[in-house]
Amino acid sequence: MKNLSLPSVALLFALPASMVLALSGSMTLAQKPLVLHHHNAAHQPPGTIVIPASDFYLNIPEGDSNDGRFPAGTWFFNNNTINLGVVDDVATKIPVKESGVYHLFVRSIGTPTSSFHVKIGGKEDSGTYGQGKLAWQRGGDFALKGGGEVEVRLTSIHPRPSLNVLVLTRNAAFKEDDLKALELPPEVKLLHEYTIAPSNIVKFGDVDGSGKYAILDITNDYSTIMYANDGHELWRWDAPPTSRDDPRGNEAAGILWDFHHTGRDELAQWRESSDGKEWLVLADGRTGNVIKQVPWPAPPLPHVDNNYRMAVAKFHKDSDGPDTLLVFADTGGWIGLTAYDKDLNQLWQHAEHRLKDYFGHYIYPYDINGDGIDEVMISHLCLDANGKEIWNDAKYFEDNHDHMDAMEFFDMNGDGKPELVVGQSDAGTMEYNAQTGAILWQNQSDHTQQITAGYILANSPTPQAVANGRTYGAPTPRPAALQPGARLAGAAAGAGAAPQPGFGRQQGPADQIAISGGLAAQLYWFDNRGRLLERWPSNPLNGNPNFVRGNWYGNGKRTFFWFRFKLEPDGNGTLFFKGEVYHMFDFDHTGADQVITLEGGGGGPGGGGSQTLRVYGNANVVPHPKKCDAECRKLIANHTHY
Amino acid sequence: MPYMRAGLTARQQQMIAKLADACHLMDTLYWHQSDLGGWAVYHVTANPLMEQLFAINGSRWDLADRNSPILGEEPLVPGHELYPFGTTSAVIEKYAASHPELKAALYNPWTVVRSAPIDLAPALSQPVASVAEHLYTYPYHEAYARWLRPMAADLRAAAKLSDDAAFAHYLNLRAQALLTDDYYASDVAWLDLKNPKVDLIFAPYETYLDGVLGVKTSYGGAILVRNEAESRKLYLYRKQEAAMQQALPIPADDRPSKEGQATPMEVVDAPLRAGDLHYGYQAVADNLPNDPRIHAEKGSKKIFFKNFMDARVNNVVLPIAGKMLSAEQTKDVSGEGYLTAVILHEISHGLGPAYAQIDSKQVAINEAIGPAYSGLEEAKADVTGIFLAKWLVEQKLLPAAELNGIYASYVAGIFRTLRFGTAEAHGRAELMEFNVLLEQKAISPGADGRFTIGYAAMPAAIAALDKQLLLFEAKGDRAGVEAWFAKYDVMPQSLSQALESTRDIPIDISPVFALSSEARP
Repeated sequence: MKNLSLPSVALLFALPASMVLALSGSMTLAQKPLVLHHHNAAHQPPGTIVIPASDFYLNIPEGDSNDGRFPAGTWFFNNNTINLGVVDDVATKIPVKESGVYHLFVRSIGTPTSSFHVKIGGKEDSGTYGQGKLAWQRGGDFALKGGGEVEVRLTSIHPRPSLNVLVLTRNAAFKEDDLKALELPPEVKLLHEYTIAPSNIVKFGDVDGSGKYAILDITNDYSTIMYANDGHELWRWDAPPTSRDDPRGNEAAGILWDFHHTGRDELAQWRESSDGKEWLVLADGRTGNVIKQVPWPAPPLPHVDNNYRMAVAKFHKDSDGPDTLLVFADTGGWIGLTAYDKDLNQLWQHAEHRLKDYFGHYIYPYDINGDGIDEVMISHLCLDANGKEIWNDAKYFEDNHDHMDAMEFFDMNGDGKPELVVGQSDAGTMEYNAQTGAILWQNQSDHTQQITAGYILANSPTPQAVANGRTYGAPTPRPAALQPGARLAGAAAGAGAAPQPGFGRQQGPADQIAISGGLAAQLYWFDNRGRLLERWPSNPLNGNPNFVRGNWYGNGKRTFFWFRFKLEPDGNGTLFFKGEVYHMFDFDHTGADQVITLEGGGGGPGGGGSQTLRVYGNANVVPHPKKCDAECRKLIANHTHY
Repeated sequence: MPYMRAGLTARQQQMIAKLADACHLMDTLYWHQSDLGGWAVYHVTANPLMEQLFAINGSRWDLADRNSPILGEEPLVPGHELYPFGTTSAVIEKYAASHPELKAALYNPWTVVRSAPIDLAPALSQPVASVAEHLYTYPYHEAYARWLRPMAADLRAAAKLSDDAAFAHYLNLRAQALLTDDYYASDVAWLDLKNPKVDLIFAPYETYLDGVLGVKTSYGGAILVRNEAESRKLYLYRKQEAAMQQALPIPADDRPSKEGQATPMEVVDAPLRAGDLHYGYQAVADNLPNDPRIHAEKGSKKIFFKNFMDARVNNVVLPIAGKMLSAEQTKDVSGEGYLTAVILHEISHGLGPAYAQIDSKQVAINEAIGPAYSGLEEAKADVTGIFLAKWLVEQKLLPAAELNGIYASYVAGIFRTLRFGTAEAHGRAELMEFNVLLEQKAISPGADGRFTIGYAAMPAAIAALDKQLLLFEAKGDRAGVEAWFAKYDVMPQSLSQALESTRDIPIDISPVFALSSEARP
């Protein structure tokens, strides 16, 4: 038994567990907390300090939010705002290189009654900002001393104004248009921009043997569109109308893989025929034509739920890469993982009667024991290449809600073997012995669905785990224009529409930003023993973002990104991209990895429009192409997104 | 909780150290009955508040917050680890109907139920009960042998260190019982102990973990050191037990004689608790064993934990009374009144019907009542105790001036329990009692949010409620009990608002035992 360091008789107060746990962040610091520094999320020309809205996120008060739905057709610096939903001041500290008199400019928007003031170094500017339509306003002048930092404070807040960007500049003639060349950090370079139909999921593969990645878009109605690397549509398959008994749940399963070693990726995909039957289809990646189809490995429709996934695994030691297709079918009541060979012959199946989500949402093939053969995990069940149980933690977490959501395999303790770091729903962040399933540590991190791990912090001899802790705030009322069924003003209609100034975002009312509510998230930093190091930002940002990580600098080391931010070596985040990160691999064969962002489209009632898929690379990388081997291609193919 | 060595010989201290070893093993065993996932995370969580919550609750479910999970989203599993996941009473009943040869084992208080053989590789999960093809039962002494064997060895080693031959005999019998699941002989030996200086509770007695059938027991233990001064005060009650039984407001057939049963009572300090006595609700008294055969033959032993009661009264009960009762009646609440109510509660567990009469057959009351039994039995003990306080006054065995103090202390005790939550048997019982007394105008809310006790209305309301509860047990009226509790299971707004005023008062104590960490003698 553990001995608690408590008084001889501890008194138990009537705090609900949720309230007690909310205090945990401030009481768990068993290791020196992180010290977060300023990082520029914009170009900083001489004599000018650009202060994007994201600079204020570090100390964002509860009730404030970020971004939102921008007015139609309007450009926003960095595609980014801080929305001041509460009266609390928000402040940041900005480095000042040169001494001198700086002129303040403020770009902001609000409602007819909202406003805020600005204090620079404790001196309050006389201007009123954040009122009415988007405005670029000149403020007062401030004498700043170089070589130090100055506090910039947004104060006297009448909710809910939104700040886009502040500028302090010695150039009195600085113009709003001058900002457009200063967006994002200098190292970030937009390489490609694609407009695609609103997707349920996007996959990447070389379907024609050209060496270039095509883009597979399985849309919200489960139709399929294949775009070539230059963005033109190669082919599409239109799904039949949804039948009344077909719930068509949350996932559209599909994967691109060169099953027959032709040098061209084929498409394995779930399809439903017009007679309401479900099929596992193998199609030609160039045309979408069916090569073979077999019945989908699940009971006939209707189902309580559909959560379908696919992955490829290396189940034979002498294979030169993944050789087996894995199909996960959660119908809510019957859940199965089925293995197929390249010709869709079933190899084995593990099935159980469990409530939906019991085995999570993803398939994780990984060579846990280093024998050259993958094992596969679905939530707390670990199977070998023959479908035989290796370990199963059902005895610990028998409720379907407590499934493992996201997994990361990483050697956290330096013993040369990968541990399993898991974002496990409301159970928080957990580390397991990947070989045995034994729980090594746990900590709280709200509802945890995304996870990453690695040597991220500078000068740390041990790795860290970073969890995306998701919270559920009260949803902000939707403006009338966004009620279900309403058409979005200014939104592009369908594939091929021209990119919009709002960067594909859903659009808010013309005179103000519509602030999203509901889902929000923040990062929990843990050391390799599960001790909380820091949370960033101080309160959750709205959204349910993902992590990607890869070789951004081309130096062989991993750089980590979350949401729209790069995770800095001190634990802070710098806004790097205009959209949310979706995937990361060497899309352009430069020898470094690029970050793919995806945003917009909505897709649900009132959504529609198009999505924008961008490929960003590091501007300083000198291309030195490197072959993507089987393991590299496996990571690209098996990538998934919640 | 301090471990007071004064008055203990060196050999007694060595013996207590052995008993403490057994208690630590019992804690581990208890977790394997309660919550395997909670146990796994308790040991590794990097969050100190999570660790503390596990240490308080003995599971992932927060007893003070309506059993909401502190880890993940899994709602309270009614059968904990005693049954396969997803087991309901309907599953068991259906299986027992189709496998009559297994019925006795399925309903046995000392068996676990599994949906796969118990020697299945630990990696492999068991089917959920609703789709399992087979159910298997294993006696506790097999299922938990890993812990029971060393626990028995510790008890036998302690017996060798005991200078009290009767206590040594009891320890040896109890060690044997752990390995056979037959506690009868050791329970008899326990009741036969004569004022032992050191005593031990150590058995699977209570059924609080079994929300499926309400029959399967969880292990609980406590090391007891007799408080001589306080024990002498109990003499009054011991002499009256048989007469109290005959004073109950139910037919004579339902009042089996207690004549000649000199039921032992002890006031003790407990320097260490284990299992279900360690986690969750911190009892200040107990009445054991629960075997109805022994109740009928020898009665039971009442144990009052003086060190726990002192901590509760000083830190919880008196501050609550100050906030929830009218100013005039607050002064009626006292430590003495509370002690009397608690003593009478525990005596009353041993009073009333010994069996339920169903279709002219004797049926164990807990089996007849099912999952609601725990709440019913706690309510019966509460109300019978307060009924008997009035009877003691009428017999001039208690000063009449003390009665209102007992009523006030009883009501203050209800407030205390309800802050602890209503998920557990005591809380659910006392919410029902409060609602009935409110309905009968024996308790009234005041304009200032405080409550006033109608002292004049109290005796009749208590007598009527006591009769109802005793008859439920006598008739084994499961449907009646469930309907009764359902009717009185909602907390009135006046009460929840008044309880809000006590948020700054602890709802219970969370003991940390010096004996757990002290160096061995």
